[in-house]
Amino acid sequence: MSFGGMSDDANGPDGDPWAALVKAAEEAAAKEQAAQQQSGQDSTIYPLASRIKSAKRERIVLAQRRNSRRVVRTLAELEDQTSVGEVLVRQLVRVQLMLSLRLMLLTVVVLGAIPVAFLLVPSLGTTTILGLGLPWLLLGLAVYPFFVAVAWSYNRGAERNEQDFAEMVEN
Amino acid sequence: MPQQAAFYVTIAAMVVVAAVTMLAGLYGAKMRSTSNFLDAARTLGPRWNAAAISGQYLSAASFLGVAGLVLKGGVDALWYPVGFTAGYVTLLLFVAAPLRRSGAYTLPDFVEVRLGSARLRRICTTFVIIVGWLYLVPQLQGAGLTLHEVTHQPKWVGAAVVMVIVTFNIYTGWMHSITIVQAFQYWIKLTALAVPVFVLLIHHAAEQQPPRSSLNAPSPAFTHGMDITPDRDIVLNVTEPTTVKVIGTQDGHPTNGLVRWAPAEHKVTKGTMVHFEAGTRIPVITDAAADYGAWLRPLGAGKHPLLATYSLIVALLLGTMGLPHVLGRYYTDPDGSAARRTTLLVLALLGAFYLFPIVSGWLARLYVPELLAAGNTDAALLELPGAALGKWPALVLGGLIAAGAFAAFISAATGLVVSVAGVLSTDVLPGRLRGFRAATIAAWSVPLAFMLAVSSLDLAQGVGLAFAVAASTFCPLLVLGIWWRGLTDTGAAAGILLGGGLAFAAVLPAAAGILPPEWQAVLAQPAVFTVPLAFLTMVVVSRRTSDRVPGDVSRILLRLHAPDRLGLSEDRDFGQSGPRAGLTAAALPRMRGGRHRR
Repeated sequence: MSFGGMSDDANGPDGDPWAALVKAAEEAAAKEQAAQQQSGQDSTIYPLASRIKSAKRERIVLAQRRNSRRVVRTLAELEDQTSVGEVLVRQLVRVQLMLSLRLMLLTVVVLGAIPVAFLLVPSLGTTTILGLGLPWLLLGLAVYPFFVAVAWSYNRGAERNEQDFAEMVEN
Repeated sequence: MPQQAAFYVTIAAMVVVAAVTMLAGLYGAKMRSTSNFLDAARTLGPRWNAAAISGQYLSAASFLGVAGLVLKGGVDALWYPVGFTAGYVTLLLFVAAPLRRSGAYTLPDFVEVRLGSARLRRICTTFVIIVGWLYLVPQLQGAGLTLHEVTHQPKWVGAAVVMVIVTFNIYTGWMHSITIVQAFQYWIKLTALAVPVFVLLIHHAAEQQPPRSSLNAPSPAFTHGMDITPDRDIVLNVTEPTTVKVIGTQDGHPTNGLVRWAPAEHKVTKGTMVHFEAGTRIPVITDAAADYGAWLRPLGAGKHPLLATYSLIVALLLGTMGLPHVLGRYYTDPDGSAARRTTLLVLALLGAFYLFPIVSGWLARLYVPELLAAGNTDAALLELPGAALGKWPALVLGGLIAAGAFAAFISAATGLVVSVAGVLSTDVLPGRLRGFRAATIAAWSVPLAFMLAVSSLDLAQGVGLAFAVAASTFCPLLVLGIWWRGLTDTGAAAGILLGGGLAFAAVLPAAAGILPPEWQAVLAQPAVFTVPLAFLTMVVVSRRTSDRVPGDVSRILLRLHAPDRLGLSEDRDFGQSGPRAGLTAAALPRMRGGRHRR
């Protein structure tokens, strides 16, 4: 876990896509805040602050967070739908969608290939393994663990995406 | 099966099932009070909820229908259980967590949260009712069939009995969709099927005679004289000259006496009695594989097999998320992550279950092939113990299967009737409890009437129709609604009306059984055409009406996708009476202040 400030650990082969985003977001937010303070509005009403305090999360904090205002501000930006918040949401949605589409494609290709395989290679239809027909073993047995594997892989990936996003927002 | 004994054994088994279920219901009855109900249910965890989802999902089609289809179609029929399961993969990847976070309890709720259009909500309600009814008809059929097989009562009796029980459950509320009760249903069904299958497998392995399952075994013949009276018009594929005694109509000729059939296809009208002598080769109906070898191979039967297979896969893969009784179950998951974990467990539970109907279908091919002549393959599981085992084991196991089948119909039918009635009472017949009760009657009376008037589809195929319509309407709605900010209410309405309307128009004649067989394959599974059409329509029309994109679409998408721990998802306000009343709570965030930007 981080000791305050941004998390430095690399997030996989893509590097840290959030870091660049947040940097840009901070700059844009700074500009906006300056503009707002000029117009007299205070955008720093944080309806979420109380909710954050009451959320049942337990975290061990080893040092005082230097930029706690940033946490709440980023969440407020998400909620108030500033252009910053919107960019962050779009990115999250895109990352999650790519993951889902990848795994869906895998499933569809694997399932869709089976009838074609039997059509093109008829001998597959009569092959037996341990006395049981191959088509039966594939469609009656093997697909189910395959589905569970796809699901497990998705859950892991989706949780990780969400964790990255949450950490980015909170840091 | 000796009729009297079978009747009593079955009743006894059903009473045991009902007692176990009632005990589970009483145990869960502590969670009765409205505001505690959901919170308490939410502490149960993904294992219970997954069992509940699976228990409610495994309906007549899964319990009896899969075995019957495997008996008829061999390997090609395996796509049905695969498809039934794969639908949850799609649901997990695209819908489960975001939908849970939206706080919606039903599909029309989601539409209102996402797009805010009352007119679109009404259109959705209509299709929820259509899909629900299409799914209910096979349940009633299965119930009628089960009771008929066991007690030889006419088919409508079983259907009526199930509906009476369902209505009683809903009115008294003690068995009402409680998670624990539905979870028990899963284990009851699994046991009711696994135990007989294991016994039968042991019996088969221990058989002394030359194995029936050899590929070189001759095509099965009737072991003793048998009367076949099909309950629908069928076409038999006769492979060698056969003399039969016919009372009724065959090949269009009213007949009363002996007829010699040449090797050809012969039509037999519904209700005609055909008597086969012992030793006659069993002819099979034309949409089944003719001999054991063909049955073992893929693509062995039917015309246009590849297109029909793909269309079926599309419908099943994409239709699960649109079934009315599936989404409401996720409401007892506390958050999006739990919804995902639950779905993974559902996949495991379904996979474990489907092994048994599949094996049963194979055993049925060996032991009750004469069902292929009657076209009554859905009865395979019910007939199997009697054909393979001695008197008392057959009675006990047959009773167990019948009880499990009834558990399947009642749980699925209850879930469906509750969903349809809920939607009816909220959107069509306003008013609180009385409206709901009236809606319950309305919810099952139409499918019952339909089922009595026409009864020609196999159970699993009948359910497939519901999937096709659900895939053509709610799949594009959910997928585009959750992942694409550009969806507008006009686009969604256009897609649903076009895709759903076409799908419904195509499947209705198939459901009524008035189509010639060549058209049956194409129209009964229109999904491969209607689903892309629905998606395309939604996208194109939404683009055209892009000014109607909701102003707070970014906030909504945030709510759907943001991780649970940020606390941004809204839930329904339970302080009011029940989940459905909390619509305004879901609408609140959209009225909050703040800058709106596209």
